[in-house]
Amino acid sequence: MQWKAILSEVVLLLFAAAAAAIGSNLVRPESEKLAWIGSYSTPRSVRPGEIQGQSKSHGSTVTPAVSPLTKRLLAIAPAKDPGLLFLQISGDVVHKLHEAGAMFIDARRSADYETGHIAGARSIPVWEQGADAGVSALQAEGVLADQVIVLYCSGIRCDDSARLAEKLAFAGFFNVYVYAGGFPDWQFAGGPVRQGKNP
Amino acid sequence: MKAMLESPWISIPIRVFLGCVFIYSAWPKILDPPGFAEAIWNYRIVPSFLVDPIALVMPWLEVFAGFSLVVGVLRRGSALTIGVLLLVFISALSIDILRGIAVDCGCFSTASSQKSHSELNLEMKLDVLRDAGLLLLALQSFLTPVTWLKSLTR
Repeated sequence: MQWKAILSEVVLLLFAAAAAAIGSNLVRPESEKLAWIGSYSTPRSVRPGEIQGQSKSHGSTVTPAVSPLTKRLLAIAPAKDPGLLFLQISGDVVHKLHEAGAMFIDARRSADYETGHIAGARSIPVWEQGADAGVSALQAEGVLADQVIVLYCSGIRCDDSARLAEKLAFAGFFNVYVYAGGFPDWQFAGGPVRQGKNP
Repeated sequence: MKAMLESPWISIPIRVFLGCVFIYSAWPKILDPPGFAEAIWNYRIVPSFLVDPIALVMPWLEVFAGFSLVVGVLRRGSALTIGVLLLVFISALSIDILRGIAVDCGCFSTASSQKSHSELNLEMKLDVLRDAGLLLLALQSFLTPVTWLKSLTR
C-alpha cells in the first residue's frame, strides 16, 4: 500500500479545508463568525476569591449604593450570595421580576432571538463573536454592577445563560440570575413574547 | 466474496452514498459555525482553544473528502479521512455515553433539541451503530481503489 501517496492526499484535503474555513470565516456576517482560537470555560458557581479580578470590579467597594429599582427587584428575587456567579430561578419569581422591570438578556443565537424572545429582553448571543462587545455595551450604557439581570436560553439542558453569567461576572455584575426553564418555559407559561431584532 | 465487494456495482454506489452522507452532514455546520462549536463544546472532550478551529475546519474537510469520494479523485486519501473522522465521532460519543453525559450529536444539525436525557442517550447509542456501519463502508472504499473509468470499462 502506498502510504506516502495516501497521506499526501490527506494533507492536501486538510490544507484545502483549512483554506476554505479561513476564507469563509473572513467573509461571514458577524453573527456567524467564530474566533480563530476558542476561549470557553465550563460555567460553575464560584466563591468571591475564585473570580479573577473580582476585587477590582466590586470587591473593594465597601457598600455600593443600591438603586430603588434594584432594591425592589432584590426583594422579589431569592437572596443570592454576591460571590456566586449566578443563581437559578424559575416559575413565578421570573414573571414577577419581568413585571417589576428587571433586565432580561437572551443568551441564545441571534436567529433564535429574532424568531421569538421574552418581551423587553435584549440579545447577547453568547456563542457569537459580538458577545463580549454586548457585555461591554452594558457597561458603556451605565448599567450598574448591582443591577438585577435575568438570563435565559433554551431550557434546562442549555448552558448558554451560565456561560453568559460568567462573562457578566467577570465584567463585575453580581446580581445575575438564570431562568432555568428558559424560553420554552416562558412560552408554555404564556409570558409576553416579541419577534424581531428589537427588545 | 472479495470479488463481489470489489465489483464496481457495489463499490461505486458505496462511495457515492458515503460521500453524499458527508456532504449532507457538513452543510448545516458550514452554515452555522457557532452552533457547531457549541455542539462540540457540549461533548466536554475537546480543549477550549481547539473548539473554534475544529468547528471551522471539520465541516469543510467533510465536504472535500465527501466530494472527492463521489467524483473519484484522491479516493484513498478521502476514504482514510472519512474513516478517521468516523473513528473520532464514535470515540467521542462512546466516551460521553460511558460518562453519562447526554448531548445532541451535532451530526446532521447544529440545532439543540429539547429531548430528555434518556432519549438523547438512546440516540447517541444509535449514532454509534450508524457510524460503525459507515466506517465499514469507508473501509470498503479505502481497500478497493478503483477509478471511475476503470470501473465503467471493466
